Amino acid sequence: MNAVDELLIKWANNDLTPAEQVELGNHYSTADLEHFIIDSRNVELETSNVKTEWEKLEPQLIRNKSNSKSNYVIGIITILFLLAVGYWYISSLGPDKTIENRTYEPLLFAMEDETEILLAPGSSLSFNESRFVDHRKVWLDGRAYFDVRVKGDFTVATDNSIVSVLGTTFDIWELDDDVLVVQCFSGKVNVSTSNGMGAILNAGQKYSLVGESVGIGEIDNSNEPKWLSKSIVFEGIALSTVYKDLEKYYPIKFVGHASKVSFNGELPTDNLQKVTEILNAVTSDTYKIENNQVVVSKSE
Amino acid sequence: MNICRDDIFKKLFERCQPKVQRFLRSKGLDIEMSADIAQDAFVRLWNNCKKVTEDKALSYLFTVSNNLVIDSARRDKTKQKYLSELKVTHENMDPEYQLRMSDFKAKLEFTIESMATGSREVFLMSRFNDMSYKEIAAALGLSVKAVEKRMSIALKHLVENNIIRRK
Repeated sequence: MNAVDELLIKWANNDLTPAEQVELGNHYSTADLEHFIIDSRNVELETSNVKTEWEKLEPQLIRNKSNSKSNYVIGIITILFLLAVGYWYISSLGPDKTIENRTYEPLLFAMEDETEILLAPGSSLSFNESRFVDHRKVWLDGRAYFDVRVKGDFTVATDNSIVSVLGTTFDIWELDDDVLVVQCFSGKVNVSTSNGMGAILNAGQKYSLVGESVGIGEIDNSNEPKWLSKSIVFEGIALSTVYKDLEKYYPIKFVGHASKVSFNGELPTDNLQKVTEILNAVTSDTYKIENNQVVVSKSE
Repeated sequence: MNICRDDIFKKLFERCQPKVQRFLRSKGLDIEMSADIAQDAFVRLWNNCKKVTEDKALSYLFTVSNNLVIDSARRDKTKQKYLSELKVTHENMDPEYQLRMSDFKAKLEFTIESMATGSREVFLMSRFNDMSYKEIAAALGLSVKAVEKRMSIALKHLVENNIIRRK
């Protein structure tokens, strides 16, 4: 490529300096070059109408936008699906089997992990049967004594508390919102209540929450709760609550005067006559057994 | 600037569609085929609107169009004959001017049709699409030197056909 050719190339790209323009004019007709530029501006490669082309293109873009919307909707559906799966998984950890003790005697049963549970009369226990081995949690309504033999997390939830244990024997009694008593006979348990209170109990300690009164104390020199030996110990429990509990051990109903007095003492679970004798002796009320009722009246 | 907004994309289309279609016509495509491929290129630009900035959009369209033409040529093995379809745009009713332009158009169309394909597309892009050698090189995936060489051959052809005369 010679120098003149290079000038011509630069001319076609509109890159010539004034000096180069003069030099190119020495070899080519300047008029021809100018005419070529002017005339070639007046011809063009024919193209389509832009407006028409946009009208053809726009629906395709809208379709893509719909796809974006679809993707957004699919994204939302996916999130909802994952939430549903998560909810299902969490729900599936909930109880699917319930054992109720409708007798007036303690009910002994063993869980799959060898934990033995003595369920008090009138109490019930729920758990997730299919997942229990991996997720050792039970829900208790009432009173039960637990002998957890295999180490690892084991949790007992009641309406108002969660008790976590590590290989131990312990007893839980919860009655409505009035009473929560946890006794630890061996090992260690962690008690957490729904109102944010709680305690870590070592063997021989008990935690009690009666009304708003919280206490941690020593348990009697025994290896198991009294109710397993045919008696119940009440400490500062309202008589109305004592009646409710006794109704779980005897096929009777307490009717009549409802005293607001608290009761401290031990009552048998296999001798109703003796129960009434004790109550007659230590309270100011009168207790009489009539058919399937214990009639309570105010002493004169 | 993000070109994903409808109004910005529409303005970009109005500004660039003729350039893209002329680019495709320079490669020998007829008006319908060039319009279709330009549409495809704009759809791809829309689909990638988050990745392509406004200042890069035109070079993106040229590159995509060029690739689409190559793909299309691979699919359709029949060699496409270049169709010269220049159009006089200046509406001057002076008979002398009309005669001169008609003569110029005919000579130019003949010259262009007889050019080698590579030289022709470079010449048309340069002359009728206001593309610099650098832009042509980027769009066709060539070096600037290669573009200049093709342009040199095209210009010699113009000289040989007396469209540009030596002294």
